[in-house]
Amino acid sequence: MSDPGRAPGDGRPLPRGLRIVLGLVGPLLLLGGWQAYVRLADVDEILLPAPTTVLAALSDDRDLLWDAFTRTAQEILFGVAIALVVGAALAVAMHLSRVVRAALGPLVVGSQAIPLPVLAPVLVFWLGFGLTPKLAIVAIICFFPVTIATLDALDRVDPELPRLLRTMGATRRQRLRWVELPAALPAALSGAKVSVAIGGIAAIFAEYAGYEQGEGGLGGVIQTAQLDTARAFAAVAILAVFAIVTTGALALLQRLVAPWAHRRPDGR
Amino acid sequence: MTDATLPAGEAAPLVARDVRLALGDLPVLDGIDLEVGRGEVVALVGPSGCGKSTLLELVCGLLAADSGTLRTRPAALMPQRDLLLPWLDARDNVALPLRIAGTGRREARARAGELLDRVELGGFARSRPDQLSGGMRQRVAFLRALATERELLCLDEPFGALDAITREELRAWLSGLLDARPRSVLLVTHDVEEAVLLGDRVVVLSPRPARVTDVIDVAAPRGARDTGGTPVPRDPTDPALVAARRAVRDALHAAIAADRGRAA
Repeated sequence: MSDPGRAPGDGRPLPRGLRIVLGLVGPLLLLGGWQAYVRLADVDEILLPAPTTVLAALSDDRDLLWDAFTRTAQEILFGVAIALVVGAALAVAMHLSRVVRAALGPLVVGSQAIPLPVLAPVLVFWLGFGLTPKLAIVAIICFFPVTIATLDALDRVDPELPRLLRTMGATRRQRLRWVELPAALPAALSGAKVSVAIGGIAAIFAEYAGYEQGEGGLGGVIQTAQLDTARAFAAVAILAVFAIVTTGALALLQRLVAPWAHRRPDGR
Repeated sequence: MTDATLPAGEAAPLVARDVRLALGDLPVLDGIDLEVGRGEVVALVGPSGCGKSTLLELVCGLLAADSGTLRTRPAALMPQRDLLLPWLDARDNVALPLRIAGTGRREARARAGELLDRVELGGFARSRPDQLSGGMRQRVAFLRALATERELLCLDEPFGALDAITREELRAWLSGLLDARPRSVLLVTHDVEEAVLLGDRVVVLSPRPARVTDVIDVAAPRGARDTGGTPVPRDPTDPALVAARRAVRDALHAAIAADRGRAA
């Protein structure tokens, strides 16, 4: 019997060291090419700063950037946390009730078609310049992958499992608790991985839409960088690294709370 | 759970009289008469697709008959695919029916642990299903059915998905368990060998819509023990078993031939 957790193809997982080296190859090639292009083609650094210039900006503006980063990171993390809870709850509600599904389905999909630059000012107008509108915007953008992935997993549960539980006299609620929710858990976390990756973009747009002096986060840094393009790029670099780290952390969390859904390299 | 005794109850756990059922326009059960007495193992054999599984669904309360009478004590189902919950370890899987019946976690786990220990599977209590072999998973699935403490066990081709060697091993294991602690069992199988090795009676069904065409008593005793007191499975070369096997096979072929005759 084949191990459902094993990846197709050659099967054996790559050694951790090799995996990390390979993960660095892409970014390093990109940075090297970029550096060479800026230097050799003599590009105006106001338009496109070289990676070394960005690195210098990271170091020169580290206090400003760190302060902005902590703000933006909060918006992303709390926003995604809200998205995870609300998104998963929405999926369960849509799974349990055909009425809810019919009523909310189009709304859920439609909500994703609203361009952020349209949505963000409205929410800032309603909710003010503080943290709240930013959380709302991040959550609105980020609940979608969670809802879709969770709903899909709930719909795909092997129908024999709830049937077996019915022979044991299980109520609808017990079937949900023992079968459907655990089955959907890894999918919800997969959705959250997508969410943290796009959460950065949502947070930046939210910050663009308005903030109190000095509380604009990385979005504020990018917006006020003006001719100091390197600083804006430094902010972007921080966002990219943060996305990689948070996605990895979620993968780890998934492994911890849903170990059955993962391949085990030792084959046990 | 008490050891060498049957769960309480007086009457036969299952009595079916002229049970009929159609799924949509498709007649599936065409007047089934069936009885499982206390402590009796009744094997149900029939061509594939004849309606055996539907009959089990009736007995386990997943379906209701269109007509006829079905008197059944609460039944526990052991499905063909083990259907263990991948997120629970073996002990929690065995404990599942207890938890659903409202037993607290600690108590349910203790009882499931005892059950596993008793059949010397205690070492696997904390293993998840994906860490167990196919044969081991079926054993756990059987214990889960036992843990319900229901009067009737419905086994739906319990070893059908296993390789031949494991299947033989598990048959011996199950027959040992049933000899040591008799249960009322309805065993659905399409394996004649399995039916006569484990069954006290073999009920032969016709192709769909299913009727009972023959009932064959297996005249070989169960529950023999060796000098050490360990239950010994029936000997497949026992003349009574050989005769029963031939009778079941003939009855099956006759049922299929009669059906072909009807269709032609």
